[in-house]
Amino acid sequence: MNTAKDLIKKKKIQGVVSSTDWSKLSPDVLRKIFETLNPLDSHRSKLVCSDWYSVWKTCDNLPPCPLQIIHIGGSPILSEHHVYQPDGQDLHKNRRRIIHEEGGSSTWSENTHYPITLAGKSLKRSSCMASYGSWLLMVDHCDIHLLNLITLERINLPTMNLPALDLNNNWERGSLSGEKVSRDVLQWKNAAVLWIDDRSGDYFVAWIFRQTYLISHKKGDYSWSSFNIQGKGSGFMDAAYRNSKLYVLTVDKHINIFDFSLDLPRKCNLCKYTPFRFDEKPWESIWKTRLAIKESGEVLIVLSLKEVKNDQEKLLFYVFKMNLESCKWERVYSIGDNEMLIFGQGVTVKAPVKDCFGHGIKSGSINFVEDDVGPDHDDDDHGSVCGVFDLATSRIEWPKRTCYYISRTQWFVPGVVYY
Amino acid sequence: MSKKMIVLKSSEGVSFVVEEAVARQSKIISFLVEEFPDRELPLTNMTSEILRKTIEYCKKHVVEDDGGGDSSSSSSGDLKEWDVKFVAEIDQPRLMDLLMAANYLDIPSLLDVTCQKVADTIAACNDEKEIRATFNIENDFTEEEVEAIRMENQYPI
Repeated sequence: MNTAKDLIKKKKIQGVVSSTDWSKLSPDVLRKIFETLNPLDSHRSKLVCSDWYSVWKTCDNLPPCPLQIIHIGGSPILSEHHVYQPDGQDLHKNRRRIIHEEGGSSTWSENTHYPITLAGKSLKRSSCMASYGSWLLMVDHCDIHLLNLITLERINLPTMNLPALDLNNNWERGSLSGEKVSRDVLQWKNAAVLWIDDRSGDYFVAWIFRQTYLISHKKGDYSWSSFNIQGKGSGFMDAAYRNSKLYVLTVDKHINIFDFSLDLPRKCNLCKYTPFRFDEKPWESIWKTRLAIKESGEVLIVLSLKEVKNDQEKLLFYVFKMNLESCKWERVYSIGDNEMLIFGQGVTVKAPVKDCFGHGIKSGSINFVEDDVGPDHDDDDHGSVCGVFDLATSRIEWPKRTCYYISRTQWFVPGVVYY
Repeated sequence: MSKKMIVLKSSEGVSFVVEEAVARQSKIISFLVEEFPDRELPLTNMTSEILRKTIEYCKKHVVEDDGGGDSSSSSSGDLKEWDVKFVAEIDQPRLMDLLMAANYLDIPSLLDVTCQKVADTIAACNDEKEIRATFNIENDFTEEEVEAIRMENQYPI
Protein backbone atom coordinates (compact mmCIF):
# COMPACT_ATOMS: atom_id res chain seq x y z
CA MET A 1 0.00 0.00 0.00
CA ASN A 2 1.28 3.38 -0.89
CA THR A 3 1.39 5.81 1.93
CA ALA A 4 1.42 9.49 1.22
CA LYS A 5 5.05 9.53 2.25
CA ASP A 6 5.89 6.85 -0.30
CA LEU A 7 4.10 8.80 -2.96
CA ILE A 8 6.02 11.92 -2.15
CA LYS A 9 9.22 9.92 -2.16
CA LYS A 10 8.34 8.45 -5.53
CA LYS A 11 7.52 11.85 -6.89
CA LYS A 12 10.77 13.20 -5.62
CA ILE A 13 12.72 10.47 -7.36
CA GLN A 14 10.87 11.16 -10.58
CA GLY A 15 11.61 14.81 -10.11
CA VAL A 16 15.27 14.04 -9.72
CA VAL A 17 15.28 11.88 -12.84
CA SER A 18 13.70 14.53 -15.01
CA SER A 19 16.05 17.15 -13.65
CA THR A 20 18.95 15.35 -15.27
CA ASP A 21 17.85 16.27 -18.73
CA TRP A 22 21.13 17.00 -20.44
CA SER A 23 19.42 18.94 -23.18
CA LYS A 24 18.36 21.46 -20.56
CA LEU A 25 21.80 22.01 -19.12
CA SER A 26 22.33 25.63 -18.20
CA PRO A 27 23.50 27.51 -21.29
CA ASP A 28 26.51 28.94 -19.46
CA VAL A 29 27.71 25.49 -18.50
CA LEU A 30 26.98 24.00 -21.89
CA ARG A 31 28.80 26.82 -23.62
CA LYS A 32 31.79 26.19 -21.42
CA ILE A 33 31.74 22.52 -22.34
CA PHE A 34 31.48 23.25 -26.06
CA GLU A 35 34.34 25.67 -25.81
CA THR A 36 36.65 22.99 -24.46
CA LEU A 37 35.85 20.57 -27.29
CA ASN A 38 38.05 20.23 -30.33
CA PRO A 39 36.46 21.48 -33.56
CA LEU A 40 35.30 18.13 -34.82
CA ASP A 41 33.63 17.15 -31.57
CA SER A 42 32.17 20.61 -31.34
CA HIS A 43 30.60 20.30 -34.79
CA ARG A 44 29.28 16.91 -33.81
CA SER A 45 27.66 18.03 -30.61
CA LYS A 46 25.76 20.87 -32.20
CA LEU A 47 23.75 18.21 -34.04
CA VAL A 48 22.58 16.55 -30.85
CA CYS A 49 19.42 18.56 -30.26
CA SER A 50 17.96 21.99 -30.87
CA ASP A 51 18.75 23.21 -27.35
CA TRP A 52 22.40 22.29 -27.72
CA TYR A 53 22.47 23.79 -31.18
CA SER A 54 21.11 27.14 -30.06
CA VAL A 55 23.65 27.28 -27.24
CA TRP A 56 26.43 26.14 -29.58
CA LYS A 57 25.77 29.10 -31.84
CA THR A 58 26.44 31.49 -28.97
CA CYS A 59 29.91 30.09 -28.23
CA ASP A 60 32.75 32.56 -28.31
CA ASN A 61 35.18 30.33 -30.10
CA LEU A 62 33.12 28.66 -32.75
CA PRO A 63 35.34 26.28 -34.62
CA PRO A 64 36.25 27.55 -38.05
CA CYS A 65 33.97 26.10 -40.63
CA PRO A 66 36.21 25.27 -43.52
CA LEU A 67 37.73 22.06 -42.33
CA GLN A 68 40.99 21.06 -43.84
CA ILE A 69 42.47 17.75 -44.64
CA ILE A 70 46.17 17.35 -44.35
CA HIS A 71 48.15 15.03 -46.52
CA ILE A 72 51.31 13.72 -45.08
CA GLY A 73 53.72 11.43 -46.69
CA GLY A 74 56.84 11.17 -48.76
CA SER A 75 54.78 11.51 -51.90
CA PRO A 76 51.23 12.18 -52.85
CA ILE A 77 50.65 8.49 -52.60
CA LEU A 78 48.74 7.91 -49.47
CA SER A 79 50.07 4.58 -48.43
CA GLU A 80 53.22 4.15 -50.41
CA HIS A 81 55.71 4.89 -47.69
CA HIS A 82 55.94 4.12 -44.02
CA VAL A 83 53.03 1.80 -44.32
CA TYR A 84 51.86 0.98 -40.92
CA GLN A 85 48.85 -1.08 -40.18
CA PRO A 86 48.39 -1.65 -36.50
CA ASP A 87 45.81 -4.36 -36.67
CA GLY A 88 44.60 -4.45 -40.20
CA GLN A 89 41.80 -2.07 -39.54
CA ASP A 90 39.62 -0.86 -42.29
CA LEU A 91 39.60 2.87 -42.36
CA HIS A 92 35.85 2.88 -42.43
CA LYS A 93 35.72 1.31 -39.03
CA ASN A 94 38.18 3.65 -37.48
CA ARG A 95 38.29 6.78 -39.47
CA ARG A 96 40.18 8.66 -36.86
CA ARG A 97 43.19 6.68 -37.64
CA ILE A 98 43.65 7.99 -41.09
CA ILE A 99 46.44 10.41 -40.58
CA HIS A 100 48.17 10.06 -37.35
CA GLU A 101 47.89 8.09 -34.21
CA GLU A 102 47.98 9.98 -30.98
CA GLY A 103 51.47 9.92 -29.69
CA GLY A 104 52.56 13.46 -29.14
CA SER A 105 56.05 12.50 -30.15
CA SER A 106 58.10 14.99 -32.05
CA THR A 107 59.29 12.36 -34.48
CA TRP A 108 56.47 12.67 -36.84
CA SER A 109 57.14 10.04 -39.43
CA GLU A 110 57.50 7.26 -36.92
CA ASN A 111 54.05 7.92 -35.68
CA THR A 112 52.40 8.45 -38.99
CA HIS A 113 49.98 5.78 -39.97
CA TYR A 114 48.68 5.45 -43.44
CA PRO A 115 45.46 3.77 -44.23
CA ILE A 116 45.76 0.79 -46.48
CA THR A 117 42.13 0.46 -47.27
CA LEU A 118 39.34 2.94 -47.46
CA ALA A 119 35.81 1.60 -47.59
CA GLY A 120 37.18 -1.81 -48.37
CA LYS A 121 39.18 -0.59 -51.33
CA SER A 122 42.91 -0.86 -51.39
CA LEU A 123 44.70 2.44 -51.38
CA LYS A 124 48.01 0.96 -52.29
CA ARG A 125 48.06 2.39 -55.75
CA SER A 126 45.99 5.44 -55.07
CA SER A 127 47.16 8.97 -54.83
CA CYS A 128 45.33 11.80 -53.25
CA MET A 129 45.87 14.82 -55.47
CA ALA A 130 43.73 17.51 -53.93
CA SER A 131 41.07 18.02 -51.34
CA TYR A 132 38.17 20.31 -50.73
CA GLY A 133 36.18 20.15 -47.53
CA SER A 134 35.90 16.48 -46.76
CA TRP A 135 36.34 15.48 -50.40
CA LEU A 136 39.49 14.01 -51.85
CA LEU A 137 40.52 13.78 -55.46
CA MET A 138 41.85 10.25 -55.75
CA VAL A 139 43.78 8.81 -58.63
CA ASP A 140 44.56 5.18 -59.18
CA HIS A 141 46.15 4.93 -62.61
CA CYS A 142 43.31 5.56 -65.02
CA ASP A 143 40.70 5.43 -62.32
CA ILE A 144 39.96 8.92 -61.09
CA HIS A 145 37.31 9.60 -58.54
CA LEU A 146 36.17 11.93 -55.82
CA LEU A 147 35.82 10.44 -52.40
CA ASN A 148 34.12 11.90 -49.37
CA LEU A 149 36.12 10.91 -46.33
CA ILE A 150 33.19 11.30 -44.01
CA THR A 151 30.33 9.75 -45.88
CA LEU A 152 32.54 7.60 -48.12
CA GLU A 153 30.41 8.71 -51.03
CA ARG A 154 32.19 8.25 -54.31
CA ILE A 155 31.92 10.08 -57.62
CA ASN A 156 33.66 8.46 -60.55
CA LEU A 157 35.27 10.73 -63.09
CA PRO A 158 36.00 9.79 -66.69
CA THR A 159 39.28 8.01 -67.27
CA MET A 160 42.00 10.16 -68.61
CA ASN A 161 45.06 9.87 -70.73
CA LEU A 162 47.44 12.71 -71.04
CA PRO A 163 47.38 14.57 -74.32
CA ALA A 164 50.24 13.60 -76.54
CA LEU A 165 50.52 16.90 -78.27
CA ASP A 166 49.80 20.44 -77.39
CA LEU A 167 46.50 21.37 -78.84
CA ASN A 168 45.94 24.57 -80.61
CA ASN A 169 42.48 25.28 -79.42
CA ASN A 170 41.86 27.03 -76.20
CA TRP A 171 39.73 24.25 -74.89
CA GLU A 172 39.19 20.99 -76.55
CA ARG A 173 36.67 18.46 -75.56
CA GLY A 174 36.88 14.83 -76.37
CA SER A 175 38.73 11.81 -75.20
CA LEU A 176 42.38 12.50 -74.92
CA SER A 177 44.79 10.03 -76.24
CA GLY A 178 48.42 9.54 -75.51
CA GLU A 179 50.37 8.49 -72.47
CA LYS A 180 48.60 7.11 -69.49
CA VAL A 181 48.78 8.80 -66.16
CA SER A 182 51.74 7.07 -64.71
CA ARG A 183 53.05 6.93 -61.23
CA ASP A 184 55.88 9.08 -62.48
CA VAL A 185 53.47 11.81 -63.48
CA LEU A 186 51.83 11.69 -60.10
CA GLN A 187 55.08 11.97 -58.27
CA TRP A 188 55.71 15.17 -60.09
CA LYS A 189 54.74 18.21 -58.17
CA ASN A 190 51.45 18.97 -59.78
CA ALA A 191 48.93 21.57 -58.95
CA ALA A 192 45.51 20.02 -58.76
CA VAL A 193 42.36 21.89 -58.04
CA LEU A 194 39.18 20.44 -56.63
CA TRP A 195 35.97 22.27 -55.92
CA ILE A 196 32.71 20.67 -54.96
CA ASP A 197 29.40 21.99 -53.77
CA ASP A 198 27.85 19.52 -51.36
CA ARG A 199 24.42 20.98 -51.82
CA SER A 200 24.08 20.78 -55.58
CA GLY A 201 26.68 18.12 -56.16
CA ASP A 202 28.41 20.32 -58.72
CA TYR A 203 32.11 19.82 -58.93
CA PHE A 204 35.12 21.02 -60.83
CA VAL A 205 38.54 19.46 -61.16
CA ALA A 206 41.58 20.93 -62.86
CA TRP A 207 45.04 19.62 -63.07
CA ILE A 208 48.44 20.76 -64.16
CA PHE A 209 50.88 18.09 -65.25
CA ARG A 210 54.53 18.84 -65.59
CA GLN A 211 53.74 22.49 -66.09
CA THR A 212 52.75 21.52 -69.61
CA TYR A 213 49.22 20.24 -69.53
CA LEU A 214 46.21 21.80 -67.97
CA ILE A 215 43.14 19.65 -68.06
CA SER A 216 39.80 20.10 -66.44
CA HIS A 217 36.55 18.31 -65.84
CA LYS A 218 33.28 19.56 -64.52
CA LYS A 219 30.05 17.89 -63.60
CA GLY A 220 28.04 17.10 -66.68
CA ASP A 221 31.06 16.82 -68.96
CA TYR A 222 31.51 13.40 -70.46
CA SER A 223 35.25 13.71 -70.66
CA TRP A 224 38.21 15.86 -69.76
CA SER A 225 39.08 19.08 -71.49
CA SER A 226 42.57 20.08 -72.28
CA PHE A 227 43.65 23.63 -72.20
CA ASN A 228 46.32 25.47 -74.04
CA ILE A 229 47.18 29.12 -73.97
CA GLN A 230 46.96 30.48 -77.46
CA GLY A 231 50.17 31.36 -79.12
CA LYS A 232 52.19 31.24 -75.94
CA GLY A 233 54.65 28.57 -75.16
CA SER A 234 54.73 29.31 -71.48
CA GLY A 235 53.87 26.53 -69.09
CA PHE A 236 51.46 26.45 -66.21
CA MET A 237 52.55 27.12 -62.70
CA ASP A 238 49.49 27.13 -60.53
CA ALA A 239 45.73 27.12 -60.72
CA ALA A 240 42.92 28.06 -58.40
CA TYR A 241 39.15 27.92 -58.62
CA ARG A 242 36.61 30.13 -56.99
CA ASN A 243 33.12 31.34 -57.88
CA SER A 244 33.02 29.41 -61.16
CA LYS A 245 36.25 30.94 -62.31
CA LEU A 246 39.51 29.19 -62.97
CA TYR A 247 42.57 31.28 -62.34
CA VAL A 248 45.75 30.14 -64.01
CA LEU A 249 49.23 31.39 -63.29
CA THR A 250 51.67 30.71 -66.08
CA VAL A 251 55.39 30.22 -65.73
CA ASP A 252 55.99 33.67 -67.17
CA LYS A 253 53.70 35.00 -64.42
CA HIS A 254 50.68 35.92 -66.49
CA ILE A 255 47.33 35.48 -64.86
CA ASN A 256 44.54 34.10 -67.01
CA ILE A 257 40.98 33.84 -65.77
CA PHE A 258 38.36 31.58 -67.29
CA ASP A 259 34.69 31.69 -66.53
CA PHE A 260 33.16 28.25 -66.15
CA SER A 261 29.66 29.33 -65.25
CA LEU A 262 28.45 28.67 -68.79
CA ASP A 263 28.64 25.48 -70.72
CA LEU A 264 31.83 26.41 -72.47
CA PRO A 265 34.62 28.09 -70.55
CA ARG A 266 35.22 31.64 -71.60
CA LYS A 267 38.21 33.82 -71.03
CA CYS A 268 37.40 36.67 -68.69
CA ASN A 269 38.52 40.09 -69.62
CA LEU A 270 36.81 41.90 -66.80
CA CYS A 271 39.83 42.37 -64.70
CA LYS A 272 43.12 42.59 -66.48
CA TYR A 273 46.03 41.58 -64.37
CA THR A 274 49.44 42.67 -65.43
CA PRO A 275 52.12 39.97 -65.26
CA PHE A 276 53.37 39.52 -61.74
CA ARG A 277 56.80 40.95 -61.14
CA PHE A 278 59.02 40.61 -58.18
CA ASP A 279 62.68 41.41 -58.27
CA GLU A 280 64.53 39.21 -55.85
CA LYS A 281 67.08 40.96 -53.72
CA PRO A 282 70.43 39.19 -53.38
CA TRP A 283 69.45 37.97 -49.94
CA GLU A 284 66.08 36.63 -51.01
CA SER A 285 65.50 33.34 -52.74
CA ILE A 286 62.06 32.29 -53.82
CA TRP A 287 61.04 28.76 -53.06
CA LYS A 288 57.50 28.63 -54.32
CA THR A 289 54.99 30.90 -56.01
CA ARG A 290 51.30 30.22 -55.56
CA LEU A 291 47.99 31.81 -56.36
CA ALA A 292 45.33 32.60 -53.82
CA ILE A 293 41.92 33.97 -54.63
CA LYS A 294 40.13 36.05 -52.06
CA GLU A 295 36.44 35.78 -51.36
CA SER A 296 35.94 38.92 -53.39
CA GLY A 297 37.63 37.31 -56.38
CA GLU A 298 40.75 39.41 -55.96
CA VAL A 299 43.93 37.63 -56.96
CA LEU A 300 46.84 37.36 -54.55
CA ILE A 301 50.27 36.01 -55.30
CA VAL A 302 51.94 34.31 -52.39
CA LEU A 303 55.66 33.72 -52.33
CA SER A 304 57.43 31.38 -50.01
CA LEU A 305 61.01 32.53 -49.74
CA LYS A 306 64.10 32.44 -47.67
CA GLU A 307 65.97 35.48 -46.54
CA VAL A 308 69.65 35.20 -45.71
CA LYS A 309 71.08 38.17 -43.89
CA ASN A 310 74.21 38.19 -41.75
CA ASP A 311 74.37 34.41 -42.01
CA GLN A 312 70.94 34.25 -40.51
CA GLU A 313 68.28 32.40 -42.43
CA LYS A 314 64.70 33.40 -42.17
CA LEU A 315 61.68 31.77 -43.75
CA LEU A 316 59.21 34.30 -45.04
CA PHE A 317 56.01 34.59 -46.98
CA TYR A 318 55.25 37.63 -49.11
CA VAL A 319 51.75 38.36 -50.28
CA PHE A 320 51.18 40.63 -53.26
CA LYS A 321 48.15 42.16 -54.78
CA MET A 322 47.80 44.35 -57.80
CA ASN A 323 47.10 48.01 -57.30
CA LEU A 324 44.22 48.56 -59.70
CA GLU A 325 45.20 52.13 -60.45
CA SER A 326 48.88 51.78 -61.07
CA CYS A 327 48.57 48.17 -62.25
CA LYS A 328 51.64 47.40 -60.17
CA TRP A 329 51.96 44.44 -57.83
CA GLU A 330 52.42 45.61 -54.28
CA ARG A 331 53.32 43.68 -51.21
CA VAL A 332 50.57 43.64 -48.57
CA TYR A 333 50.70 42.77 -44.91
CA SER A 334 47.05 42.02 -44.40
CA ILE A 335 44.54 40.01 -46.38
CA GLY A 336 41.40 41.20 -44.67
CA ASP A 337 39.83 40.83 -41.29
CA ASN A 338 38.38 37.39 -41.53
CA GLU A 339 40.38 35.54 -44.11
CA MET A 340 43.47 33.42 -43.83
CA LEU A 341 45.59 31.48 -46.28
CA ILE A 342 46.51 27.88 -46.56
CA PHE A 343 49.55 27.81 -48.76
CA GLY A 344 48.81 26.01 -51.98
CA GLN A 345 45.10 25.84 -51.36
CA GLY A 346 44.36 28.50 -53.97
CA VAL A 347 41.60 30.23 -52.06
CA THR A 348 41.52 32.16 -48.84
CA VAL A 349 39.38 30.66 -46.11
CA LYS A 350 37.30 32.31 -43.46
CA ALA A 351 38.96 32.47 -40.10
CA PRO A 352 38.23 34.07 -36.76
CA VAL A 353 40.18 37.13 -35.70
CA LYS A 354 41.43 35.33 -32.62
CA ASP A 355 43.18 32.01 -32.62
CA CYS A 356 41.02 30.07 -30.22
CA PHE A 357 42.72 26.73 -30.31
CA GLY A 358 46.35 27.70 -30.51
CA HIS A 359 46.71 26.16 -33.94
CA GLY A 360 47.15 29.31 -35.91
CA ILE A 361 43.63 29.29 -37.28
CA LYS A 362 43.11 33.02 -37.36
CA SER A 363 42.82 35.78 -39.88
CA GLY A 364 46.00 37.13 -41.40
CA SER A 365 47.94 33.92 -41.03
CA ILE A 366 49.36 31.56 -43.62
CA ASN A 367 49.26 27.92 -42.73
CA PHE A 368 51.78 25.72 -44.44
CA VAL A 369 53.52 22.39 -44.22
CA GLU A 370 57.25 21.84 -44.12
CA ASP A 371 57.59 21.34 -47.82
CA ASP A 372 56.10 24.74 -48.59
CA VAL A 373 59.18 26.42 -47.24
CA GLY A 374 62.79 25.90 -48.17
CA PRO A 375 64.97 23.72 -46.00
CA ASP A 376 65.77 25.67 -42.89
CA HIS A 377 68.89 24.62 -41.11
CA ASP A 378 68.60 27.03 -38.27
CA ASP A 379 65.33 25.78 -37.04
CA ASP A 380 65.23 22.15 -37.91
CA ASP A 381 64.10 20.90 -34.56
CA HIS A 382 60.70 22.53 -34.43
CA GLY A 383 59.23 19.07 -34.26
CA SER A 384 56.13 19.91 -36.19
CA VAL A 385 55.20 19.41 -39.81
CA CYS A 386 52.86 22.36 -39.96
CA GLY A 387 53.75 25.97 -39.43
CA VAL A 388 51.86 29.19 -39.17
CA PHE A 389 53.18 32.43 -40.57
CA ASP A 390 51.78 35.63 -39.15
CA LEU A 391 51.53 38.21 -41.92
CA ALA A 392 51.53 41.17 -39.59
CA THR A 393 54.59 40.18 -37.59
CA SER A 394 56.41 38.01 -40.19
CA ARG A 395 56.94 35.39 -37.53
CA ILE A 396 56.58 31.67 -37.88
CA GLU A 397 55.24 29.40 -35.25
CA TRP A 398 55.30 25.65 -35.33
CA PRO A 399 52.35 24.62 -33.23
CA LYS A 400 53.36 21.48 -31.45
CA ARG A 401 49.88 20.41 -30.67
CA THR A 402 49.11 19.87 -34.30
CA CYS A 403 50.19 16.29 -33.97
CA TYR A 404 47.73 15.62 -31.25
CA TYR A 405 45.15 17.49 -33.15
CA ILE A 406 45.33 15.41 -36.25
CA SER A 407 44.95 12.23 -34.33
CA ARG A 408 41.84 13.47 -32.67
CA THR A 409 40.14 14.81 -35.72
CA GLN A 410 41.56 13.35 -38.91
CA TRP A 411 40.82 16.59 -40.70
CA PHE A 412 41.03 20.26 -40.08
CA VAL A 413 44.65 20.86 -39.90
CA PRO A 414 46.51 23.59 -41.64
CA GLY A 415 48.21 22.57 -44.82
CA VAL A 416 47.10 20.81 -47.91
CA VAL A 417 50.29 20.12 -49.72
CA TYR A 418 52.14 16.91 -50.27
CA TYR A 419 55.76 16.49 -49.60
CA MET B 1 42.41 29.23 17.75
CA SER B 2 39.47 27.24 16.57
CA LYS B 3 38.51 27.58 13.00
CA LYS B 4 35.40 29.45 12.09
CA MET B 5 32.60 27.12 11.07
CA ILE B 6 29.50 27.75 9.02
CA VAL B 7 26.37 25.70 8.43
CA LEU B 8 25.06 24.77 4.98
CA LYS B 9 21.62 23.24 4.70
CA SER B 10 20.58 20.95 1.85
CA SER B 11 17.18 20.79 0.17
CA GLU B 12 16.22 17.92 2.50
CA GLY B 13 17.03 20.13 5.45
CA VAL B 14 20.20 18.30 6.41
CA SER B 15 22.80 20.58 7.97
CA PHE B 16 26.46 20.37 7.09
CA VAL B 17 28.96 22.09 9.33
CA VAL B 18 32.04 23.12 7.37
CA GLU B 19 35.04 25.32 7.95
CA GLU B 20 34.48 28.73 6.52
CA ALA B 21 37.70 28.54 4.50
CA VAL B 22 36.41 25.38 2.83
CA ALA B 23 33.04 26.86 1.98
CA ARG B 24 34.51 30.13 0.81
CA GLN B 25 35.78 28.48 -2.35
CA SER B 26 32.29 29.11 -3.51
CA LYS B 27 32.13 32.73 -4.49
CA ILE B 28 28.43 32.81 -3.64
CA ILE B 29 28.96 31.44 -0.14
CA SER B 30 31.89 33.75 0.31
CA PHE B 31 29.61 36.64 -0.47
CA LEU B 32 26.79 35.35 1.70
CA VAL B 33 28.95 34.83 4.82
CA GLU B 34 30.10 38.38 4.57
CA GLU B 35 26.60 39.70 4.20
CA PHE B 36 24.94 37.38 6.71
CA PRO B 37 27.47 36.20 9.28
CA ASP B 38 26.40 33.64 11.88
CA ARG B 39 23.54 32.38 9.80
CA GLU B 40 23.07 28.98 8.37
CA LEU B 41 22.80 29.09 4.62
CA PRO B 42 19.94 27.20 3.03
CA LEU B 43 20.82 25.69 -0.32
CA THR B 44 17.34 24.67 -1.33
CA ASN B 45 18.22 23.46 -4.80
CA MET B 46 20.95 21.06 -3.72
CA THR B 47 20.37 17.57 -2.43
CA SER B 48 22.37 16.33 0.54
CA GLU B 49 24.21 13.93 -1.72
CA ILE B 50 25.39 16.63 -4.07
CA LEU B 51 26.15 19.03 -1.26
CA ARG B 52 28.23 16.34 0.43
CA LYS B 53 30.11 15.71 -2.81
CA THR B 54 30.70 19.42 -3.30
CA ILE B 55 32.00 19.81 0.24
CA GLU B 56 34.25 16.80 -0.25
CA TYR B 57 35.75 18.54 -3.26
CA CYS B 58 36.16 21.86 -1.46
CA LYS B 59 37.79 20.23 1.54
CA LYS B 60 40.41 18.68 -0.69
CA HIS B 61 41.01 21.92 -2.51
CA VAL B 62 41.09 24.30 0.42
CA VAL B 63 44.17 26.47 0.55
CA GLU B 64 45.21 26.78 4.16
CA ASP B 65 46.69 29.97 5.37
CA ASP B 66 49.15 28.87 8.05
CA GLY B 67 50.83 32.12 8.78
CA GLY B 68 53.80 31.83 6.45
CA GLY B 69 51.82 31.90 3.26
CA ASP B 70 49.40 29.96 1.20
CA SER B 71 50.06 26.29 0.95
CA SER B 72 47.63 23.86 -0.48
CA SER B 73 46.89 20.79 1.57
CA SER B 74 48.14 18.64 -1.31
CA SER B 75 50.68 19.04 -4.06
CA SER B 76 49.24 20.05 -7.40
CA GLY B 77 50.11 16.73 -8.99
CA ASP B 78 48.33 14.80 -6.27
CA LEU B 79 45.39 17.14 -6.54
CA LYS B 80 45.08 16.53 -10.26
CA GLU B 81 45.11 12.83 -9.71
CA TRP B 82 42.56 13.17 -7.00
CA ASP B 83 40.33 15.27 -9.29
CA VAL B 84 40.51 12.64 -11.99
CA LYS B 85 39.43 9.98 -9.54
CA PHE B 86 36.79 12.25 -8.10
CA VAL B 87 35.02 12.85 -11.41
CA ALA B 88 35.58 9.30 -12.60
CA GLU B 89 33.51 8.00 -9.73
CA ILE B 90 30.54 10.19 -10.53
CA ASP B 91 27.79 8.71 -12.62
CA GLN B 92 26.03 10.60 -15.35
CA PRO B 93 22.94 12.02 -13.55
CA ARG B 94 24.96 13.08 -10.55
CA LEU B 95 27.57 14.62 -12.81
CA MET B 96 24.94 16.97 -14.14
CA ASP B 97 23.79 17.87 -10.62
CA LEU B 98 27.36 18.52 -9.63
CA LEU B 99 27.90 20.66 -12.70
CA MET B 100 24.86 22.68 -11.81
CA ALA B 101 26.02 22.94 -8.20
CA ALA B 102 29.45 24.14 -9.24
CA ASN B 103 27.82 26.63 -11.54
CA TYR B 104 25.29 27.80 -8.97
CA LEU B 105 27.74 28.07 -6.10
CA ASP B 106 30.34 29.53 -8.44
CA ILE B 107 33.26 27.22 -7.71
CA PRO B 108 35.40 27.70 -10.83
CA SER B 109 37.78 24.77 -10.36
CA LEU B 110 34.97 22.29 -9.73
CA LEU B 111 33.14 23.63 -12.76
CA ASP B 112 36.30 23.12 -14.80
CA VAL B 113 36.80 19.50 -13.86
CA THR B 114 33.15 18.56 -14.28
CA CYS B 115 32.91 20.32 -17.65
CA GLN B 116 36.07 18.56 -18.73
CA LYS B 117 34.53 15.23 -17.83
CA VAL B 118 31.49 15.99 -20.00
CA ALA B 119 33.74 17.19 -22.83
CA ASP B 120 35.78 13.99 -22.59
CA THR B 121 32.62 11.92 -22.68
CA ILE B 122 31.44 13.78 -25.79
CA ALA B 123 34.86 13.39 -27.40
CA ALA B 124 34.71 9.64 -26.86
CA CYS B 125 31.54 9.42 -28.96
CA ASN B 126 31.84 8.73 -32.66
CA ASP B 127 28.87 10.71 -33.84
CA GLU B 128 25.97 12.77 -32.65
CA LYS B 129 23.80 9.66 -32.29
CA GLU B 130 26.21 8.21 -29.80
CA ILE B 131 26.28 11.48 -27.89
CA ARG B 132 22.47 11.44 -27.71
CA ALA B 133 22.48 7.86 -26.50
CA THR B 134 25.17 8.54 -23.91
CA PHE B 135 23.40 11.53 -22.44
CA ASN B 136 19.92 10.21 -23.06
CA ILE B 137 18.92 13.20 -25.13
CA GLU B 138 16.04 13.01 -27.52
CA ASN B 139 16.69 14.08 -31.09
CA ASP B 140 14.22 16.84 -31.81
CA PHE B 141 15.63 17.62 -35.24
CA THR B 142 14.16 16.41 -38.48
CA GLU B 143 16.50 14.74 -40.90
CA GLU B 144 16.37 17.82 -43.10
CA GLU B 145 17.33 20.05 -40.20
CA VAL B 146 20.31 17.90 -39.32
CA GLU B 147 21.37 17.98 -42.94
CA ALA B 148 20.99 21.75 -43.09
CA ILE B 149 23.10 22.22 -39.96
CA ARG B 150 25.66 19.79 -41.24
CA MET B 151 25.89 21.89 -44.39
CA GLU B 152 27.06 24.84 -42.36
CA ASN B 153 30.30 22.92 -42.11
CA GLN B 154 31.00 23.26 -45.75
CA TYR B 155 33.29 25.73 -47.34
CA PRO B 156 31.93 29.21 -47.72
CA ILE B 157 31.20 29.62 -51.38
